[in-house]
Amino acid sequence: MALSLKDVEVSRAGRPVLAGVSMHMAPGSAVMVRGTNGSGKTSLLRAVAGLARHEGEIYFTRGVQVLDPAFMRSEEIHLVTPDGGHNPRLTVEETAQFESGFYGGDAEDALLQLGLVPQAEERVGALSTGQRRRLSLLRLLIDKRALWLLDEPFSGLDEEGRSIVRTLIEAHRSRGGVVLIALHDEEDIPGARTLRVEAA
Amino acid sequence: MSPRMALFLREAALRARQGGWAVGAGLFLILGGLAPLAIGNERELLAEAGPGLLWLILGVSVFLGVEGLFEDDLTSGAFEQFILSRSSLAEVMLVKLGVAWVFLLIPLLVAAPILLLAYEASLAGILALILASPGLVFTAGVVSALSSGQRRGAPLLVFCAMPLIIPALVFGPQAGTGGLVPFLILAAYSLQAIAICPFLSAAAIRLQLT
Repeated sequence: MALSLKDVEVSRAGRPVLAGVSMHMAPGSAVMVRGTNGSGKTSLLRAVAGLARHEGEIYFTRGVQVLDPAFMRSEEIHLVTPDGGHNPRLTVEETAQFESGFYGGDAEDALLQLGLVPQAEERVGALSTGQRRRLSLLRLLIDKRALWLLDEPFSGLDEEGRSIVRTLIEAHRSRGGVVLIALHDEEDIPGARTLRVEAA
Repeated sequence: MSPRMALFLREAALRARQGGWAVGAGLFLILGGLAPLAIGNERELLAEAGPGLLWLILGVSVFLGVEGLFEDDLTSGAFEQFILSRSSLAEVMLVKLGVAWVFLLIPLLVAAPILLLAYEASLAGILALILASPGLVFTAGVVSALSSGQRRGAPLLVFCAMPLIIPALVFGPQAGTGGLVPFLILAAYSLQAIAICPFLSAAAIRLQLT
């Protein structure tokens, strides 16, 4: 799967935040979106996921075939946000069981990989920031999708957590997956291109 | 496990924990129990005014029980994940509201006969309650979805949703005295709510996300 952006303009709360973004991402490629706070990194990711309004063209292709954005949303896009997207009242175990039933995949193995087995009985709301961050990676492991949109995937993670994220990204790229990452300047993904965005 | 079953189990765990059902049933019992103190304890008056009063109380109890139904999923970003899934958001809302209805109805089925007997009103009111309750919960769900993320969501919910349950307020108290017609109308009210409200509440959530 490949992702193309042509002259994309994204607005947040009715005001344009970034404009004129064009790029092409081939299968197996990764792009780091860098910029200051408020420059629209998250908004760009949300626009690609179809969760925010945008001007210009965002399209997905497989070979010569253009893919329907609705199909991409339901089958091929993972968005990992800092909040994680997990209800704070459920335990880690319940969350994992729900996701494995909802997306179809093996939850036990995924929890093991993320090192969250000791926290299985804890509520998501009671987890530390780093543990919640790890849990947010769960669906990447459970459901194999082609396009990953990662919003600050390293924030709050310890060295072990960071290496898990790096390994996941590496494995995903070697399978031909595409990764778009919103990232601060101090972090780096080997072999990834950089897209610098500035507030319009 | 099918995606729908997984969603159902998740919702059931959340509803049991969030306690909206206890708020709904508790309010219903307390308001229903205190009302005779305000309107006097003449038996004829109570039997006459009781059913109408109970339906009004039922509306408020259901609304406050449904309040905050979508709050956690909205703030934690779970709704965004539902949009990026194979299930449609309307389907997710149907399951959510359906589970919320079951959890509100079961304690009400215990509380309602007690109050109806105490008021010496017709027990046919229970059947009317079962028929009308999906309509109440689903209608309240739409307003709850619209007001989620707002502070003071509960008063706003009662204020905005109360006019929407007029059919239940008009025909609910006639159960037992008006023949078959009130039951049919209450059932129709619920059926249209079940058909329309999942889509409306899904649209309301989408609106909040963009």
